[in-house]
Amino acid sequence: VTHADQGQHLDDETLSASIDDRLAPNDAAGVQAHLGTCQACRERLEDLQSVVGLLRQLPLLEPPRPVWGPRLVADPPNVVRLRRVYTLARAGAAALAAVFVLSSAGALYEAATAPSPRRRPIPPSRFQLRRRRGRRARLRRRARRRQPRTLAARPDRRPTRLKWRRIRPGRPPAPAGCLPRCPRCRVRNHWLPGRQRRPSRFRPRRPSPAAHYEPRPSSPAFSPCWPSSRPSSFAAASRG
Amino acid sequence: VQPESDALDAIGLGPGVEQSLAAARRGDVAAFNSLVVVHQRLVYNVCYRTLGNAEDAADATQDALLSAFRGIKAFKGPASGLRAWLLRIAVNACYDQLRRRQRRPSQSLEAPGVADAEGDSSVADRLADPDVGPEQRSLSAETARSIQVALDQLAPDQRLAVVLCDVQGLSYEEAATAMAVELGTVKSRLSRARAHLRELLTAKGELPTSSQRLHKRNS
Repeated sequence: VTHADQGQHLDDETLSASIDDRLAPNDAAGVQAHLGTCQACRERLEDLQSVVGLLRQLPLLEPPRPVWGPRLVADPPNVVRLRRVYTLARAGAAALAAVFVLSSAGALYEAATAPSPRRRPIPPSRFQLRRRRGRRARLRRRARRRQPRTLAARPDRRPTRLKWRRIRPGRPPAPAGCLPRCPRCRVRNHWLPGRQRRPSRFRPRRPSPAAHYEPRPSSPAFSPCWPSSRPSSFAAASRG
Repeated sequence: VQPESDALDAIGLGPGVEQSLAAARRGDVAAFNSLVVVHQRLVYNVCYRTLGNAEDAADATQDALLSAFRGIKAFKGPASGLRAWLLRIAVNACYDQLRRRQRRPSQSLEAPGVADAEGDSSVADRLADPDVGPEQRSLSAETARSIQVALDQLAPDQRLAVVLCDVQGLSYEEAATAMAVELGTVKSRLSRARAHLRELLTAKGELPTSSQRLHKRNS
């Protein structure tokens, strides 16, 4: 091959391949030709061959101690302990996971089946309030329409113009011993000393009519303020 | 037929090997033992020649066989590939041991390793088969020791190549499988290792000098 043609020595790889007969047939012929002429290469080849021969003669040794046996298959105690710990940990983790899954499933089931929680009512907006007021008024009107109507004047009221009025449930009777109402202003405690009608917040207080400033009866017993016990000037005039 | 199949079984190629391989894949320790017992010595010797130390070699062999037992399920292939697979694991175990030794260099310094195994008087008891040929027995303990020392001076890759191909006599292909390299890599490593060994052994005087060779050729 090229080595022989170029007059170079054979390299180590070619020589060691020739020892093992691993040369291609074409190469082998070239190598043989080179070896026939080159003393140095032949000596190297012989050296390598004797190296290989020495290596092949190395004795087979027996291991100094058994290298394989059933005892070796068994794990050392620390590994056994570790494995036990791992097994326990795995079981614990699995139990925890199961508990978690079960509880979450139960919670989900409860949440799905239980009635929706009572929420705090949202305060109605003013539009809603207005609408509701209108609705309430409409209902009130409807109820009034359902009631029978009468022309009778209400006897407990001061006389007014006759009007179509609905019959409404009467006032509850006054409790026994209660002061009768003042027929003019329909207040029970009208004459009670030291007591005034509670001022209304919404209606401005009007000054009482002059009749209210009539001299108080000397007796603490009942004496209505209207009609006055004295004949008024108007009555005298009409009477003629 | 029976003795032939027994002999085939003994070298790990018989018909019973496939069955025991299948059993070992299922986790049968006895079947794995029957598989391993054939290759155990080979694995140990590869480890020994690579590591140069009987203790380390035993450790590496043990590790290799243990990991082989753990990984026998991963071995998919015919039983004929079992030897190369085991050697692949052994080679990895050897590299592991070498790495471990590099991490703790004190042990490698105090343990030349060769003397305790091959210089021993008990080495004859440990020889694998006492009735090998006379030319094999003729290798003296000193020669074997110096060869081992020379092997230890090689780079680990070259050492493994030379151990697998020359000492154990594997083919290039099997060595390539065991070392997980290309065939050409095996060739180049082997040639470099042989050349290096030649220099080392010549320096030690284990190889015949040119004058001796001339004398031999003339006589």
